[in-house]
Amino acid sequence: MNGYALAASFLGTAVEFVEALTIVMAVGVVKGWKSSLLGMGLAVLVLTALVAIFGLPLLTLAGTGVFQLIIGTLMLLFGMRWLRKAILRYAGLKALHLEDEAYAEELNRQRAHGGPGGKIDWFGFVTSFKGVFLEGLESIFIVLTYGLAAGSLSSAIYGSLLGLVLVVAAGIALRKPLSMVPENTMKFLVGILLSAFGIFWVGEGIGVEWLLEDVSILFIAAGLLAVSALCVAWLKRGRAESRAVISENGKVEGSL
Amino acid sequence: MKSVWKTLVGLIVDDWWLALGVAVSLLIAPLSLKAGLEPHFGGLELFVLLACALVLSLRLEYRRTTRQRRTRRE
Repeated sequence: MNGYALAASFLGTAVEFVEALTIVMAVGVVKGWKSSLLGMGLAVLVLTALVAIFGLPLLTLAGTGVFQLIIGTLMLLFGMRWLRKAILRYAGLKALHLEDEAYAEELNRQRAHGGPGGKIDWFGFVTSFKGVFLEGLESIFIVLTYGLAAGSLSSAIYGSLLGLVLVVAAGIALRKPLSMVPENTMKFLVGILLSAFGIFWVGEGIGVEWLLEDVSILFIAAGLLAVSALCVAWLKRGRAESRAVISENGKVEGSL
Repeated sequence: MKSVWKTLVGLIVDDWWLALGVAVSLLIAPLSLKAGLEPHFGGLELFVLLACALVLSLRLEYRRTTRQRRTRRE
């Protein structure tokens, strides 16, 4: 069992499950639980088929240089995307993703489309399917990349299942979106971990010799954390200075 | 089909400047190693290049956001 893959997979997929739960709940409340759960069930089936068709054959390539480079590049792109988004949110340049607001928005969208239509409401069904499918696709990506990179797919799967069970149990118990989950912080951490693992793997793939071998991942992660903290401070300062210029002159001037 | 493709690509790339920066980093790092850079320093070079790509992408986003605000104000 690889604790690192388990924890990283748990954090990364739990965030996705929280977002999917919000959509399923909103559809269930407005359009009925049958449409919502059927959409969710079909998405889970399609995702399972995709893993069987595309995911499992990847295992046979594990360990090769090309494989390390491909998986590393994907982790890097995915991780830096999350990291960039989290930095922009911390700096106030992007709105925070709040589950309460996302839930209210989805409720309004569903209501605007009318009440439940027939036995199965197709609008609700498609919304639920699409939400679970897209969030699930990201979860599968996280599980596969962490699992394969750490050489312990089972650890990543256990981490993900733990996240799924906890999120579903909390959703059933509370009967409301899990707005208390610190989603942005979790995404920030997962972004750093994915990027660090991605840099390490890409390096391995192109022939870099890491001085401390696997331990280098921790140093890369620490470096990314430092760069991110500096970026947040820099963007916040620029934003504050822009605001000061607006209040003085009535116009915005970028100061960076 | 086009929207499905866009959604799938959007799962991995949501800022093309960042993607371009990553691509350039992944091109320069192996070329430097082939040109004789010490393999121990290859990792450091890769990290620095990618950090620069991230900073560049954030700077462009900042400029875009402030420009949008200026336009709205005008």
